Amino acid sequence: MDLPLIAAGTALVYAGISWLVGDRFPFSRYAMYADLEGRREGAVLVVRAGGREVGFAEVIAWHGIDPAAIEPFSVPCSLHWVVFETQAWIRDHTAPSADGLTVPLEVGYRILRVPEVGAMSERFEWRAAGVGRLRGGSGA
Amino acid sequence: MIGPALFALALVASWGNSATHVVLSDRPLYAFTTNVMTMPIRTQRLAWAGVASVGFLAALWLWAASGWPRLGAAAVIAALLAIRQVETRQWPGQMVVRLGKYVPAASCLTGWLIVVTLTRTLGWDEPRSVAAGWEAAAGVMAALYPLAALSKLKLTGWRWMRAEHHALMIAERAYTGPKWVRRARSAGSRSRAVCAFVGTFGLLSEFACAAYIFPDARIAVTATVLALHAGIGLFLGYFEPEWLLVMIAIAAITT
Repeated sequence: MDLPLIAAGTALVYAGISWLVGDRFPFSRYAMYADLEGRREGAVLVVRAGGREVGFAEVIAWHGIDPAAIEPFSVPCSLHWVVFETQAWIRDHTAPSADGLTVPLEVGYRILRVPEVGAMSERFEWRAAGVGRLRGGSGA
Repeated sequence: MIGPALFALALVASWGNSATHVVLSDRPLYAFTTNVMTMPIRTQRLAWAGVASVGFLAALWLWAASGWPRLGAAAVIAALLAIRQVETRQWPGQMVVRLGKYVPAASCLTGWLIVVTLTRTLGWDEPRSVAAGWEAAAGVMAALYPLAALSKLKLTGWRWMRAEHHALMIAERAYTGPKWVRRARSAGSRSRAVCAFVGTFGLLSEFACAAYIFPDARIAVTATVLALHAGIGLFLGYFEPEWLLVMIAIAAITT
């Protein structure tokens, strides 16, 4: 058998099996970002501390914010790993009480909408509010 | 020699990626910050991953430098499967897969192993059999990107190329990264020409990767994929060297 035929044959077999079985190691349909149908809006997680946008890892003590409440729910979110890591961070850094936590926290989404290129709009949807402490001591 | 070395490096990159996520699963790795790296590392988990990594490197040596390459390839594939299982279980749902963490090196090595085993069974001599194995690896690589393109067509259709889709995707990522990257993404998301090009090139170049089955086309396809990944890195914010290493390695071995 010619070597190029081996490449073509293997490609067809691998593609066929992948299409049938989906994401089963070492096969996959490699469908990341494939489903954009009907996607008009995108949710980007935002954490505000004292009215200022911060990275979630900057807040080292949280109180009053339920991680489950900050899901994007019905709004498409292509950055869901940020949501997952924020939820895990809040769970791991929840303070038992609000004592000494003075920085107001808000967690929500910047909802982006692109009806046409160059005409992007944004609005905010806040999902949860609480108090906390920032890295470096602010809020204690 | 450079080709097999690069392929081995791709396998190490694949293992290292998953092993790192297993060891550091207690912190937000994707939202990487320097603060995250100052957290103490769980020593027991680090030791466990270190021992497993020694086993992986031994398997890699079996494949690359011993008299039992097929046994080594099977061991490497089994090790990658195992570490990926551990990694996947630490994340909810199919997050690891949905994040686009694929295993192209393991897929290509599987093709290599099956065809080398088959051709040796059919009585081919070792050099010809190994050459056939690398052609099989090239065949698997040739299928990966077209599969991604087919998935886009199945789920979204040709409308996947619409500039608005890509303007939104790029805009969503314009709030992270260094300042110049944020500016580039913000400007890119407002440019119809950029977004239309990203959509069209993204889909069509993935289909064009099927040409990787032809040895003469492999360098050109690799250059195309380099451009594709440069765009993904700039606008979507992630870079996976494993894909490029595999593609360059197989092209170097077979052309």
